[in-house]
Amino acid sequence: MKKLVASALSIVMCAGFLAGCGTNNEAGNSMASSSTNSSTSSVNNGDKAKEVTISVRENTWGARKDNFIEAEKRLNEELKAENAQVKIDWWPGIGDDELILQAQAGKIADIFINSSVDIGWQLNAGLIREIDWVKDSNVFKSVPDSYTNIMKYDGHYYGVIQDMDASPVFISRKALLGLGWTDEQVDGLKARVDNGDFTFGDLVNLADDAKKKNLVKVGFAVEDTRFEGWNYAYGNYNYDPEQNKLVLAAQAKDVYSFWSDAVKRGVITEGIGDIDTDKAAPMFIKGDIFAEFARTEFYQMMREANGMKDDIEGYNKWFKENVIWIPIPAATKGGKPSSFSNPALIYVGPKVDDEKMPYVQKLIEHVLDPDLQVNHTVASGKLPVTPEAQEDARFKAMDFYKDHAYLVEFTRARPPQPDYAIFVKGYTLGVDAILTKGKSPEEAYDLFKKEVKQNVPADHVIIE
Amino acid sequence: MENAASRQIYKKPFTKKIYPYLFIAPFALLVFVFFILPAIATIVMSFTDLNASMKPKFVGVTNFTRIFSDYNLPQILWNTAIFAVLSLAISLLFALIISIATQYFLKGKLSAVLYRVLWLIPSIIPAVVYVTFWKYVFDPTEEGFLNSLMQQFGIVSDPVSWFTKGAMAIVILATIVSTISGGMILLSAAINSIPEDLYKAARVDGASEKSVITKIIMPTLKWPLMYITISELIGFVSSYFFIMLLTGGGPMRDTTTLSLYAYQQAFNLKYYGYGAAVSLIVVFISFILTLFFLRLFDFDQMIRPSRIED
Repeated sequence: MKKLVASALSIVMCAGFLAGCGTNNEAGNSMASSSTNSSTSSVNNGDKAKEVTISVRENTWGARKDNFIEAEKRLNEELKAENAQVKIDWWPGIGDDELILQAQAGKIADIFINSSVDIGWQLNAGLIREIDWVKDSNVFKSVPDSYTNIMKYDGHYYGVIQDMDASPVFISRKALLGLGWTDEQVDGLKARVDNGDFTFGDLVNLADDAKKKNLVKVGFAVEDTRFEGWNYAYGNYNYDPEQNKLVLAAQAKDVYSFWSDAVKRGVITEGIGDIDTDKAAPMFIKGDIFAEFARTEFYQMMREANGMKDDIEGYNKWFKENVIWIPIPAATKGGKPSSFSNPALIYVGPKVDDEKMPYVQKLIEHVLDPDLQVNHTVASGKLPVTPEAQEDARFKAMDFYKDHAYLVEFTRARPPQPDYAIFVKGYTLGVDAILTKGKSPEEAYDLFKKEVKQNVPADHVIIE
Repeated sequence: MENAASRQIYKKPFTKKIYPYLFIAPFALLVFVFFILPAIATIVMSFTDLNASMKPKFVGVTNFTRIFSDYNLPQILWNTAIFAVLSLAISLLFALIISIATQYFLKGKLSAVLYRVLWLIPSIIPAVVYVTFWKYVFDPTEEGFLNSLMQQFGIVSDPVSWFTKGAMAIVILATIVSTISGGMILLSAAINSIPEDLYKAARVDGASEKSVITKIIMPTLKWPLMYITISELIGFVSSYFFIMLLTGGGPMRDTTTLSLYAYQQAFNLKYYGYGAAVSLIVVFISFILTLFFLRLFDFDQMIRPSRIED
């Protein structure tokens, strides 16, 4: 009896096992087929529309995800004539570590977004491929050179600029009036900065006066530790794009001298790096800060801190009465002002082949449709990147952003050199040395040089 | 036929010797996958120049020679020593005082229980929330708890930038408050295990409180103290999470410990090979310290068979 049961059980199990193998084989075939299709990025089902699956790794920040979904719809309308359809496969994800781990597991999305500063290492790691179609794309035909430079690396296009910001200096109007300025003088300050008539040193002097007269509690505040603006004001750009090398220039000493002077005069407090931007916004609203070096997003942060998230009209009125903004003034008379940004680029993964690329290109181009860019501006406070989007009626109605549009002509981004992070860490250590240890500009510069010499490969940096 | 079947003895599929291995196999597998393999990978990584490009090249002992020529090393080792030694000494002392106070002087009283629960709170709060609390206390603006308090009492006119004045002290304070409870629980349990008769006998003999503590309680705490010392010291030498969240290792490198430096090299700057080499130095230091304390506490004596069994 037992043998009988055992035999029956064996037969059933064998049958099940074989059936399972059969099913698996079919599934395997199906998967193999799907995988093959995935590699060629398309499935041709006879009369049915050709379906192209494009994986997109992105989060929901701003209107990025919504814009991809809308772009997919618009592209599919266009593709109906070709009997093809595009389908987005969403991969949630953020952060470089995750990106690297996904790549190690062979999962590199067809499209993903990362900072422009990441081109170098992503290219070295084989995470991106060149997209030289950008050069001939109608979408980018009229973007300024400053954008083209951000998208290019080593002679090729490797990213598509997704959004942009600028780095205005927000100044307390009341503090300026308190210093005896007239409304006309205050309103004319931006033009003076644009003409190079008002220098960075003048701004430091104003902050110093405002602090001495107890009009404010803090002279300068800065968003996080984004000290680039102060570097650029002194013509210290840290990077030679021709040679793709970092540059430790003598101008760094001038910047350290500014820091040292500003600390001694009390314009900058030693804890400047510890005051988070979300704390700076209410402080600025209270009138505690003379000048906040931030990005356009600070405009939105103040709106929320003011409790006027949904009262745009009321906020704009408050803003006009209490705040003015200027680009970062040049250090020398007659110099050009500066602005910086950390723009996001849309990258294309290396698995996208030539057959799939046209669909990827069209999808990305639709993401940059003018109205979608403005949707992103509304949601994130970032600036649109194409002149067409800047002509959008909704954008033109947003005075603050519209007035910033000209800054992008000369806005600089962080260099895409892979060793930039360690380089700038050395620079910040020099700043810290002045702030917290009372070191001189020369000592700070020596520390910076020591760090760079020790940590940045010699063939990646020019030490002047 | 039924009789014959009932006579058949059930035979176990495996021999008795195999069962223990079968039982530990799943856990051994987990340990192998999540501890042994990463450890091997870290060792291998430390001999490569692995960075974000993920194209490792074997570089021999270059990373290790680089560590010893790194001009930051003396300061980072010093920070590590200060952080670990002070955190350990102070938290151990407090744990000892609290456990003796609540388990001997206030034994059985509600106030003792409440006090111990109070000390447990910091250790059960998620680290991020806990750090947010300390950041609020030492906020460099007027909104900070300490600054607003000092301004209200007229002690200072301008807010103090606490994290630039005494970052290491803040880090140690936050670490101590959250780690005291671990030692307190173990020491309290050990004190609780001392028979009441011993105290009674000591009192009958006219022993002072000091004698009770030094002659009865302290000898009982030798092994728990050894365990706490070793485990907490290893924890402090290899910990970086609090420091990273509180100060990021700054200002400058004033609060950068060796393990935080390893983390920063590997994950902030993406020098995985170098970061792995630095982390191996952390492991080596922890290993040496463990051996030292096992010797200091005479670990051999603890594992020696009891004389009663002789």
